[in-house]
Amino acid sequence: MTSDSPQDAAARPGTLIQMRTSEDWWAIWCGTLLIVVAFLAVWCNRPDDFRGKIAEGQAVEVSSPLKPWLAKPNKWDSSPLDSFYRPATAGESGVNTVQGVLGVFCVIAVLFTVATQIRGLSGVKFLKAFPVVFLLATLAYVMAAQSVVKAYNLEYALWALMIGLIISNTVRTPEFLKPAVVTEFYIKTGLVLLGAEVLMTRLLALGAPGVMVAWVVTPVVLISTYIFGQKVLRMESRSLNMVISADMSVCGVSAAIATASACKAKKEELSLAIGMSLSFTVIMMIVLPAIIKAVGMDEILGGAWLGGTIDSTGAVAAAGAVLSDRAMEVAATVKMIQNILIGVTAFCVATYWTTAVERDPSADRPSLLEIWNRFPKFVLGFVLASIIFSFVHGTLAGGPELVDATIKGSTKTLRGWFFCLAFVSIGLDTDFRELLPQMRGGKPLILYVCGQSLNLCLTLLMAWLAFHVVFRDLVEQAAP
Amino acid sequence: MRSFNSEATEDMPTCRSTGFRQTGGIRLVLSLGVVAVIWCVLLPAIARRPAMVEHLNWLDDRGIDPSAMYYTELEMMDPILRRLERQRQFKPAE
Repeated sequence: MTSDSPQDAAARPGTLIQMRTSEDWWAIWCGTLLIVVAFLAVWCNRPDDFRGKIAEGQAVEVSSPLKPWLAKPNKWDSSPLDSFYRPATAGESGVNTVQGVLGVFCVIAVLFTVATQIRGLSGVKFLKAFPVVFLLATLAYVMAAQSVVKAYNLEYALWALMIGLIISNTVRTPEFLKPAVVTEFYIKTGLVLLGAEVLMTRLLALGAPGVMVAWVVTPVVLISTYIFGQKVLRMESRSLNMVISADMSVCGVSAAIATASACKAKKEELSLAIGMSLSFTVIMMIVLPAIIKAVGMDEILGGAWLGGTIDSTGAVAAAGAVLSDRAMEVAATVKMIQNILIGVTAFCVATYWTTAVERDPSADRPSLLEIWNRFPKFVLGFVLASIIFSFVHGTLAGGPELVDATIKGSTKTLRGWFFCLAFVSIGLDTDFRELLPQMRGGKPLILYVCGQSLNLCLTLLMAWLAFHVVFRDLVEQAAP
Repeated sequence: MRSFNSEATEDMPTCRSTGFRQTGGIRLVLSLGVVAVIWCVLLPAIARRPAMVEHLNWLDDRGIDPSAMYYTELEMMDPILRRLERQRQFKPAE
């Protein structure tokens, strides 16, 4: 995630060679292969006369046969072993995720070993190191699956990072592990898989009021915060500024990951942005509903405000539910629209970075070839996956059922594992001391607080206009 | 044959590195101990408190996972999306 100079870009090998060797292209190949296999598995498993039943308006259940083979540790209360195996009791169904976790291990181990070998690196060394990195990722998932930890939005990214940091800052990361510490490869492959979940057809889920709150406020806050960071705070790192602005204005960790990769931010910058985002999310998910209740704000307006301001998706739903079921629905739907804006955000940030930030100030406008060479190619895979799945979802008979089964049965689980492996890798590759210069003068914190304050004011104003003034009648009809 | 000076400069980092590894090993064990105590003792104890049990059940009943990173990870989104998609399908016919 580090930026390269124009000289590096000039010395870059041709596209065909890059397609065989570069991480970006291999993220596309690996992500595409996983998506295609996942979709074909669902397609072949669809019930007889699927189209006919859909045409008749019948509810059709479609599932992925891969689902039992791909899993993550389950939620647990008192014993970490419950996240892997818990026998069925009178009140609760049993849990067995061992097969699913081993399945994920096999899929990623085989895929990445082959990819590493073809890229001209040592596949054997990767395979020797990968089980340990995967074990650490599994530990992070188990830590994140504790019910109290889950209830307070402390996502696996935080624990994966912490586990990696503990190792790298105590005994130092052993050399033999380094071939499997491939942060960018994991993140980029995970992002291509995430592309399949970015369904543009759901952008209009709340109609015009949702567009006003999510589409208008989000880019305005993102751009204003970035400009504030550059012009007023004079942030040393543009990429840190961009990652904080995006994770605060769009949707937290997932937006931070996508933007950091698009603007080639340093791994420490991503860690810092995510740490801040999760800390503020915990505070906001408790404080904001209390404020809304205290001032007697209308539940729909409150829900829209929560959805547009709290970074993390799960925390938005939890905060909305404190108000009412109706507020929870509005909040979660506004946040979903912001989630989907990740695709557009990542593409725009990557384009801005390659055409403006990385541009040689002494040279003329960069040529299209130069822009193509510098452009992070995995973003194309991410956007393409989003477009194709949005098309299938929106136009194919039974598209929503097929797409949902593909995502829930396999790609969502694999994407989570790739991100978890990436955060373990970031931790294993980071020295605590490297994080300190990023905090100099408290600028990132000031940036976050100022940006979030603007976000709170602007979202409230826009939500009031959209849900109470301009589209009041529409909201009354559509709301549950 | 190595000179005294070269021996000293080559061995010193090794000693430092061995020392770092020894203290690092202790720090690792201590850190993992703290993690184990928090996750195996403290958090389960919090999870058993009546107020927390009630809160966790309340989240479960609504299908909310506050740690969800993306909307596709939220079980509670399914009925909302189904309803919104139904509304969208039937809108032109109305």
